[in-house]
Amino acid sequence: MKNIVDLFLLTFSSIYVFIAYRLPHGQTKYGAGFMPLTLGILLIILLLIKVIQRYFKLDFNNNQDISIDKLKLLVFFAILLAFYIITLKMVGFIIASIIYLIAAFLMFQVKGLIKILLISTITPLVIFYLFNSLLRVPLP
Amino acid sequence: MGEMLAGASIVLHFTTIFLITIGVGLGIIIGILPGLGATMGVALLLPFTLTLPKPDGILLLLGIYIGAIYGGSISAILLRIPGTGGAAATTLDGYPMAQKGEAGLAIGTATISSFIGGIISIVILITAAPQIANWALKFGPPEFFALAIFGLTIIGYISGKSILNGLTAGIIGMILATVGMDPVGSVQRYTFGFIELASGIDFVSLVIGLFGLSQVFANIEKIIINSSFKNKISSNISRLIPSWGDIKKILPIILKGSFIGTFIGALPGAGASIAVWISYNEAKRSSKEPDKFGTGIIEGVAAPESANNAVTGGALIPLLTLCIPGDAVTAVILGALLMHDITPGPLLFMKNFDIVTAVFFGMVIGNIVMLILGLSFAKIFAKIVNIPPKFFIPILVSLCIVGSFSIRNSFFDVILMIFFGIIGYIFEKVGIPIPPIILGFILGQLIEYNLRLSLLLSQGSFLIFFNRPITLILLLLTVCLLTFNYINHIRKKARDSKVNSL
Repeated sequence: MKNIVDLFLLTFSSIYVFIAYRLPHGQTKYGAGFMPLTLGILLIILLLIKVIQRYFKLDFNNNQDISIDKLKLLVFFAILLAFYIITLKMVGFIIASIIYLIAAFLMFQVKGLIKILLISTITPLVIFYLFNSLLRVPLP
Repeated sequence: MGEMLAGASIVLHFTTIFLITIGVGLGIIIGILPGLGATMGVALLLPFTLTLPKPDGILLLLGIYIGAIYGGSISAILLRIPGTGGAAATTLDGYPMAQKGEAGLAIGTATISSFIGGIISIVILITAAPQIANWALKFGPPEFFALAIFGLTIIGYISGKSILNGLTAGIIGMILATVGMDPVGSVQRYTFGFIELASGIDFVSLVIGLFGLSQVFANIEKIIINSSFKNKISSNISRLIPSWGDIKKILPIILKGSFIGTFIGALPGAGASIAVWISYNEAKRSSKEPDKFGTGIIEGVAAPESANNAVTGGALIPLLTLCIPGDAVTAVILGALLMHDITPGPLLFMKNFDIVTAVFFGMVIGNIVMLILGLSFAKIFAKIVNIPPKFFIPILVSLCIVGSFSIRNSFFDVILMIFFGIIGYIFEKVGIPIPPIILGFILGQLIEYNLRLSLLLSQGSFLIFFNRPITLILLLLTVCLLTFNYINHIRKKARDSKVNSL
């Protein structure tokens, strides 16, 4: 996991530096591209130090990797989130939120159908009222 | 004096007091719920405040800050799970008190200590801040550049296990700050044709994603594996107010804790999680019966609680006067101030002193509200501890989406928020801390702007940073602090590996 993230960051910083080179550098050499170039190079140096440290096993951090069980629920939740945003665009905040909340509570195995229905209906209505009427922020 | 009264008149309105009360109440609830905390609370509610008039929105956020720091102690006492890092030391005596049936007394002591700590820190803030701001008026771009670089040293404290990862996170934050219009030459950078990125990455989407949604993902894991949330506790809250004898016993500890908290809070990077331990250790060291600490005595609750709420006032000293955030929460509050078109720094004290005094008075009111709510609704707050995360997580996600959408009515910001939420979750998994990203994002803008202005002034010569005494001192201090942090980390690692090998 750490190697993948480092590889991603190294690729990202290389592209970042490449774009920074093409930005105008101004009359004093310290134009729009100066800061991005400096930061990009610094990030590459830091990432290389990390990779070298790991190679020589100097990294003492033992972070948990994601287990399959956790990953499954997280992926399901991510799909639900994507579905929520799509429906939000199509049917508006209140209906999309009611559907999403019912689905999320069922996914997390919350017991009591009436409780689920009540919370899932009241919460979006309260949020909608708060934003639309009190704070005058239009919601979809 | 006139401006002081103007500030007071802004705050002493029904709507403002009502908003502060809402802020403190929500803050307490957020602080109580394990896994949330002050930073997430402020981040999540930031978009709600943007349509409010200038000081009201900020006062609501400060209310959340005050409430959340205090609320963290309630779950620390009842569940032994500190709601916030600043409440960790409270578990030592608070939880044993709850076990002995004195949960009410522990919460009451925490409330009173937090109140006194908060008020003392505001008095120090009111006295010290204008003096520091006055001194900082002499600052030009080179000094502000050095100050912002000095502000980055707190990365060492908020990096968690690895300074290298903290620095990586800080640089990533600074890189994110380069997206959008260049602050000096107005050149578009890294927008890739997206109009939404022309004014930079939206701070609200970034902060809600990194602190809100990533925590939601982390909490989803807890739903499966963590049993600590299943602890149903009996919310049997009896006597709340300590007796006169108890108050006499804890008052010197509270006063000491308040000064420690304010001082530590004013140091960049130190924050509540350090202040509480120093205060607790000091109370234990100066006690006639140090052995009783940890067994459930009110002194052990009063010491950390007075310190952690005193940090709120202390942390505002460098934030308001020098634009340096002390920790993750104040970094988010700094972002919020900028979004509300309030730029902290010496000029704020010159041009908008009424807003500064409104913040002072608002914080006093916030602490009074915290005292009243804490003592009146302790029983209800104790029940909130029992709410399992599977109830509030889906609602939090809804708030994250609404919050990021509401800033510009744009689904682009929602997608951006989700992207940062996933990034934040993965980064935490691989040990890259989140707070330095926010710090880098905010200070990165200040650093670039002031660095390039300084170089324009000096016609490209870096000597401008070494010719000016304040700049030189600040840069030397930065190097010293970074070296000190690095040596400390190396020592700690060596110590840890020694312990592990035993």
